Amino acid sequence: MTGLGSLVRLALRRSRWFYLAWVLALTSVVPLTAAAYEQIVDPGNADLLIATMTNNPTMRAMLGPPVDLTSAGGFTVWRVGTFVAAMSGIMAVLGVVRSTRAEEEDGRTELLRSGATGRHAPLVAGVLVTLLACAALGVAVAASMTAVGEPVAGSVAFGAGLALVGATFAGVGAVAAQLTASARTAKALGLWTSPRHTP
Amino acid sequence: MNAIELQEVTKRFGRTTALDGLSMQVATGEVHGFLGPNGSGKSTTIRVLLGLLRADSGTARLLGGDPWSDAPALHRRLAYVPGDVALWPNLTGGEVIDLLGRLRGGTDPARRAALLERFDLDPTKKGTTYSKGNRQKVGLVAALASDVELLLLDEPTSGLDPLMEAQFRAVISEERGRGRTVLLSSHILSEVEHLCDRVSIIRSGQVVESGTLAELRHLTRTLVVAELAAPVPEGLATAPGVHDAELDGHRITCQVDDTELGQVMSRLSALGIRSITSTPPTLEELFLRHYDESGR
Repeated sequence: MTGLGSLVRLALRRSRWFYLAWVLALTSVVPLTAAAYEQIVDPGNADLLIATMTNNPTMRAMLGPPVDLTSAGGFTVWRVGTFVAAMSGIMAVLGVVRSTRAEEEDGRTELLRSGATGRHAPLVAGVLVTLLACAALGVAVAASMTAVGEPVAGSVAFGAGLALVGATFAGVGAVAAQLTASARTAKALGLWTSPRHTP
Repeated sequence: MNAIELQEVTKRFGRTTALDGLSMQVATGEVHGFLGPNGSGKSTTIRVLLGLLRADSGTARLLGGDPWSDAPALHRRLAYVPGDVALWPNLTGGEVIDLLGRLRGGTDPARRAALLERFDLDPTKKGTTYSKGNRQKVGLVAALASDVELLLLDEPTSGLDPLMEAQFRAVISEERGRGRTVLLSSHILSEVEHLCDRVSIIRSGQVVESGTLAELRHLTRTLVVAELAAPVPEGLATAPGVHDAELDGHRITCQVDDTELGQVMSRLSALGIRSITSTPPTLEELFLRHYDESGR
């Protein structure tokens, strides 16, 4: 693992805008959905609307059975949770491949490996930085849910769930990068494995 | 002790044999030329030495260590420049030089500044804006600014203009003066001719010739053009060591084996030499001849 610190810093430097864009875009969906709930569901029509949404077979087919639509948090997790989780997986696959297989394909890893770096350090650095981005997504989601007035425990559980889905697919991306010779194939393989049933 | 020691190294990629029992030695402190056509195995050899590839069989020693298992420790003592330096698009040349230097345990700021000056390189530009030649310069400055024992240079001057090539030659001569060992792979033969103490010629994954340039020249012929006082006797054209002779009255043009040069010269001077030119073979000729003849 010689040289890991330098490689992590390099991967962060290389991909900071990539991860920042993903995390911001995915996080913004969450409080926007929670805010929309407050607008469409007012106390007068809440019961009727919730019953309609719960029993609508199309919505159930797309989003799964809702757990609790009486709160904005429960509604948000039901409406966009799967989508954001799937997207965090895609972010992780693309992110890991980007800083491992793609770098090697372009001949930059060779230059790094000619310095005092361990054989596995570039892969570990790429995975670590992606895990960091997944954690950042989790924290940002938990914070934004708390900020719109949802209970802390549920918000943290939602954020942690998203981060862990991302982390799982960081692993998928790492394996895909090892199995393939080109970054394109690695991304295709990783995404093929990713959750595809997104609304 | 030899800085590089390769014994019967074999490397296959699927059905392709890239290195086929390659053996070579590079002594500590020498500038060693590594010559061969594209695809002959030069880069594969260097990647084995860097521990980027593992040889299928044979032994490789680098600076007294094993290039595969001791890679990180050995890499603090060497620097590598590939034939095509790939840069990170959003890092400046200076940042890349510092990054690669850090991975080797630091660069000497004074040398870094001096090299930037000599190679006329602006380190503040982003990777995407550099031309091929400037990317090579980034790699060269990064490698040369580190205080390492061994330089592995894989066609490092590709894309450099003649002025910068001359600068490169001057810098490498200085490096030799500091006692650094250099392995310089090239197909720019004049570069090797000017710089190298010894040369290894590689072909189809094997070293086919190795030695000092003087030793290799013994295998070659000198072009002799002489104007004699008397008509050239027919027998001279078939004398031992004389090849491709053209006789034209008093004039003879021929190739002479370097080993027979003395004999041929005495015969010519016995006939009375009015004028003579002899042209030593360039490495190009040596190289072409080698591949022409052993290629068949």
